[in-house]
Amino acid sequence: MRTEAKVFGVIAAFLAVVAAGYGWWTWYTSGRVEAGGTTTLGLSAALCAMCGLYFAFVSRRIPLRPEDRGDADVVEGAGRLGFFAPASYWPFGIGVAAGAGALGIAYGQWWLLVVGLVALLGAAAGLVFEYYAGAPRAN
Amino acid sequence: MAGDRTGLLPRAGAALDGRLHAAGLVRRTMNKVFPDHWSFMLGEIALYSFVMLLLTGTFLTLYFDPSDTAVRYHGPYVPLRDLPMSAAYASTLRISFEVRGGLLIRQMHHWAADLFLAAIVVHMLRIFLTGAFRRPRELNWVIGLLLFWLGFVEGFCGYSLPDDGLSGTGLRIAEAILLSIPVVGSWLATTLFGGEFPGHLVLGRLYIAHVLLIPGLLAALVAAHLALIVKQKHTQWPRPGHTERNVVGERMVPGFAARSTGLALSVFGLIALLGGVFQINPIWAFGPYEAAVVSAGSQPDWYVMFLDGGLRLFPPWEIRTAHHTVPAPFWPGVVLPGVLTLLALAYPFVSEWRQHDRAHHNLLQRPRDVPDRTALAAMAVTFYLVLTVSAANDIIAETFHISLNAMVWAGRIGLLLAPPLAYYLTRRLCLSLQQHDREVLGHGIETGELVRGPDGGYQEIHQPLGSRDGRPLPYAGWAVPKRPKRIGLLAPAVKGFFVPVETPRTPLPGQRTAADRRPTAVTAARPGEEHDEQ
Repeated sequence: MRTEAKVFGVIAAFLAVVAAGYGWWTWYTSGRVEAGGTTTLGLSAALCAMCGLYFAFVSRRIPLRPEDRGDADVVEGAGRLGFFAPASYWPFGIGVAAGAGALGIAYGQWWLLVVGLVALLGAAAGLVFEYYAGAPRAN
Repeated sequence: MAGDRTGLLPRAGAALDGRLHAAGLVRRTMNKVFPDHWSFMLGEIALYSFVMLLLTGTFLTLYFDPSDTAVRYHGPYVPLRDLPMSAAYASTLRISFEVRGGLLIRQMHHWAADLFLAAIVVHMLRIFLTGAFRRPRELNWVIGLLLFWLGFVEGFCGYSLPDDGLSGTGLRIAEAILLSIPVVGSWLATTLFGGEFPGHLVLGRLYIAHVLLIPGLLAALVAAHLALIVKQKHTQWPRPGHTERNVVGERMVPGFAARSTGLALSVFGLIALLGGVFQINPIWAFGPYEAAVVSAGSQPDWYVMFLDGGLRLFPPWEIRTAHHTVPAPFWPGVVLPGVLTLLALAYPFVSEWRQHDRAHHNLLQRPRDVPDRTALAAMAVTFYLVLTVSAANDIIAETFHISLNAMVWAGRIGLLLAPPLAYYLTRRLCLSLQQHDREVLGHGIETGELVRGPDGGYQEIHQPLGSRDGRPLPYAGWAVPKRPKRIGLLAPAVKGFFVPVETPRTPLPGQRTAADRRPTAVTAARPGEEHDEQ
């Protein structure tokens, strides 16, 4: 997992540098920092850093995987990988909710932002619990 | 418990039964079985809205004066003070501003009417999409359609009564539609209004229609509708144990009655909330009706909007023959609703005749299993929606700075293009859903468990649904489980929000617990353990 952590860390560092450079450049040429792009780049850096940190923490907790060793065989990696949701419409719902909230900010319609946020919470819960909630209790 | 006739209740019951001989009927009613599904409650929402309409309407009749006597307003609402108006409008203002609770009841009445028709429309869609109108229930479909139109006319009469600027405009449009009918139009209009519009009779006539004639008809037809359901029994979904010859469900008492009462109280509560919190039809803002004045942005209630949209979209084609003129409003105002009604009325009979289907159907069909009918419904809904949106085309044009002409042309083109498109897309969607059901039945449920093979390839484990010999299950007309949790592959969740409030049970062999999701489990697990691999 170290490799993954490094990949994400490098991207995060790059994005952080670009964000700082972009902010400075826009301030230098136009007299004020361009908020939209700087925020987007900064948040992207934070997101990548978050993934990288997660991988770094996990890599300390679990033993080395075959992928992490130079002398491993393909056959050593055989086995169950875990659970990955095969299909879900919830990401679409999350997108719609987030889009509604963003429109609310863009047009100053705060009620729409509230609606979008509530819907976002619902959609995120739906995504997380889709394969768990509502399982029959008695069998 | 039997034989004990000394208690108060048994004695009272015996005394009643000695006079009414109703014990057998009551027992049969209490034991009547109702199948259970959320979509069976839609009609009940309409029923309870109707009850609320009767209750609030009775209150309003105590204070409303359906007379067009000219009066001057002397009430507390300052902007209208000393204006000339009809007694009907003045009494509606009095209900809104002076009668205790009057505005709440008035708004509840209006909201209940909107909810009544909305519930009827959704209920009709449910009936249509699931094939509940098929033999032997065609007559109830016809009654339901009549109920919709009666509710429509009842609502129209109701919002015409206050004689405010908006309702007068609606009445004027209704008169124009009447006038447009060839040959008899002018006779009909003068008969109804007792002379030229608006005349002095129409409010009284609308009133008696609104509080006596149409509600009486509605109540009678609702009774017939329910009696037919009791006689023919409710339809049910095809589930294990449900056949064409039985009814599986809950008894009237206690299960169904409790559920239904809960729904009734929820509907009442919702109407009270809407009436108390959300303003509807603020007639004081519209002012008294003047026959020469039409305000911009006039909108009917939602259920009339499709007719209004038709009037707005139809091109100004006037047919002049030797002695008569057929004006344009005749087509969208009379022919269009007439044709729509006839199509809906004829549908059950035509489809029976076309499919040579003489059998009784008590089991419902999933909408995806009858793609053509479902697509037809989507087409009708799209047609209706384009008309409804077009009724607001002036508001949309103004709000979004679009040309009104562009809105009209978008409506005209959309009315012709959108329904076939909806038909095609819905039909494909139904067929795809059918195919997916068959696919899952044939190949099993995707468990989401990924396994890496010794050669480095990835594979997802499928859980077959068929028998051990590998033959797929036949499709049973009911929802196919598509998630592992639906077939018990997932250990039941442990109750408790922040801390568990019960000791977790040991999972059954093959069951997955939430803990398996943690990445620490990645190395611990062995390939495809305890799963039937595909």
